[in-house]
Amino acid sequence: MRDVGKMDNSNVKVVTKNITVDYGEKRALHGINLSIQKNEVTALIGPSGCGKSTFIRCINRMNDLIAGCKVEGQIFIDNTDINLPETDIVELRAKIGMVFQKPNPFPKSIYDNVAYGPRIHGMAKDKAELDDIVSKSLKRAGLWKEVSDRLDASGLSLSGGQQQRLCIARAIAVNPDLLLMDEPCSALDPIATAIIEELINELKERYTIVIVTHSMQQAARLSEKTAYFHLGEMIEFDETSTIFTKPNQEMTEAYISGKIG
Amino acid sequence: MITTSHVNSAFDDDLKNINNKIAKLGALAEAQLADTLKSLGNKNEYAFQKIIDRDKKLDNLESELNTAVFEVLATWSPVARDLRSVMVADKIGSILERIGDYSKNMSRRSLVIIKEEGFDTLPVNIIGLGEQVQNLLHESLDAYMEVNVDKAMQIWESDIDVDRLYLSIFKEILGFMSDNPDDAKIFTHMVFISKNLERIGDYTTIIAKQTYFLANGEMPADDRPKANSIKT
Repeated sequence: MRDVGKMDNSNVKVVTKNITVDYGEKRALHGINLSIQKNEVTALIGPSGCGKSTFIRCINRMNDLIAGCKVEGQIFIDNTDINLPETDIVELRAKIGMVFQKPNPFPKSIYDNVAYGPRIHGMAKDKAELDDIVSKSLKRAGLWKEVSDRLDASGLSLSGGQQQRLCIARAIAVNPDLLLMDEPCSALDPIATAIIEELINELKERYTIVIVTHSMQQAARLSEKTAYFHLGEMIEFDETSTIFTKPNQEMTEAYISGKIG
Repeated sequence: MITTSHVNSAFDDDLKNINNKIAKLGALAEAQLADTLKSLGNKNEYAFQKIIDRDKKLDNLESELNTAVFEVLATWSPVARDLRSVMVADKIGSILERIGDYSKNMSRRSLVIIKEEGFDTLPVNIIGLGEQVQNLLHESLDAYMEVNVDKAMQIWESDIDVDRLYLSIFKEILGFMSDNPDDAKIFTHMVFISKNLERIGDYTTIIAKQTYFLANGEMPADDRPKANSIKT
C-alpha cells in the first residue's frame, strides 16, 4: 500500500504501528499502519465487519472493555504510546471525545448531559465556570440557539438530530483534541445529517476528527483523507479526492463503485 | 468478491443504456459524414438534402443521452471509473452531435456551390481530406468503445496529417480565389467545407484524449505534434 503523498509528519496527531486485534481466536485487524493528521477529518470506510469500528475503538482503548479482545502494536497520540501500562485511561479518554451511531444522551437534563464530563474531571471551580463550559460546548455543537431557553428539559426530549448534537456537545465539553465518530449520521434524516456535516466542517478547525461512515458520499464530502478497510486489512489510504476519482487499488474501486459488498 | 458488474444490476442497466445511445450516435455521425463525402464525389443534390433532414435525429439522440446521463448522476452518484465513463460519454455525445452539424453544414454549402455552378472547381483533395478524417473518426470511436489507449494515442498523433492536408487545400483555394475574384462566394464555401473536415479531425483527437482519461483518470500530456499555423 502506498503512502499518502502529501503526508506532513510534523502535523501528525495519531500514528498506529502494526495494530492487530484478536477477538479470541478470530483476528479482526491485521497490522494497521496509519497516520492521522491534526485538524483534518479522516474517514474510515469499508463493508460491515471490515474492522473500521474495531480500529477506531483502539484509539481510545475502548476494546479494553471487551472480554477476550487482545490489541497488539503501538498507537501514538501526540508521540505518546497509549498502550503503555502507565497510561492513565481516564485522562486519555478525556482527551478523546466519542460519538456513536445512535444518539445516547443520559436520561438527564440538557445542562447535566453537557456538564457531566467537566464535573467528573473537576474542570470547573464554580457554577459560573460550569455554565460557561456548557454554553460554549452547546454553541460549538450548533445547538445553543435551539435549547438555551430550556436547559432543564430532558436530553431525551430533543429530536434525533438535536440529540446527536447534544452528544457532540457532551463530547467536546471536556475539551478533547480528538473526536472519534462511529457512523454519527446513520440514524438521522438528510437535513439533520447536513447540519451535523456542517458542524464537523467547523469542528475540524479545533479538533482532529476520525469518522467511520457507510455513506460514500459523506466520506467524500467531509474528509481530507480516506482509508478503505476490507476483512481486517487497510487496503488503501489516500487523499479523499484520489480515493473517489482515481483509487490506486482495484478493491477500493470495486467497493466505492458498489461492486463489492 | 470483486466482479465487473455492480451489486445492484439496475446501475449496470443504466450504464448500458448510455453506451447504447453513444453507439447509435456514433453510427449516425459516421453515416452522415460518409454520405456527405459520397455526395461530394457524385454531386448528389438529393442526398445532400437527405443529410440536412437527417441531422435532427442526431440532435434528438444527443438530447436523450444528456437526459440519461443526468439521471444516472442524480440517482447513482457514480464515482471513480463509473463517474469518468458517464462524464466521457456525455462529452463524446456532444462531439458526435457537433460532427453531425458539420456534415449538415457541408451539405448546405455544397447545395449553394451547385446552385452557383461552381461544383466542378472543387479541389479533389477535399474528398481525400474527408476520407482521412472519416478513418480517424471510425478508429477513434473503436478505440473509445474498446477503451484501447494505444489505439487512441495513435489517432491523437496522426491528426497532424489532416492539418497538413487542410493547409495545402486552403492555399489552393486561396489561389483560385485570387485568380477568379468574381467566384469568391463559391470558394469561401469551399474553404468552410475543408475547415469543417479539419475540425472533425480535431474532434477525433478529443475522443482519443477522452478515451485516455477514461482509462487512466488523467489527461495525456499535451505535447501533440501540430502543423504550422496558417500563413496567408
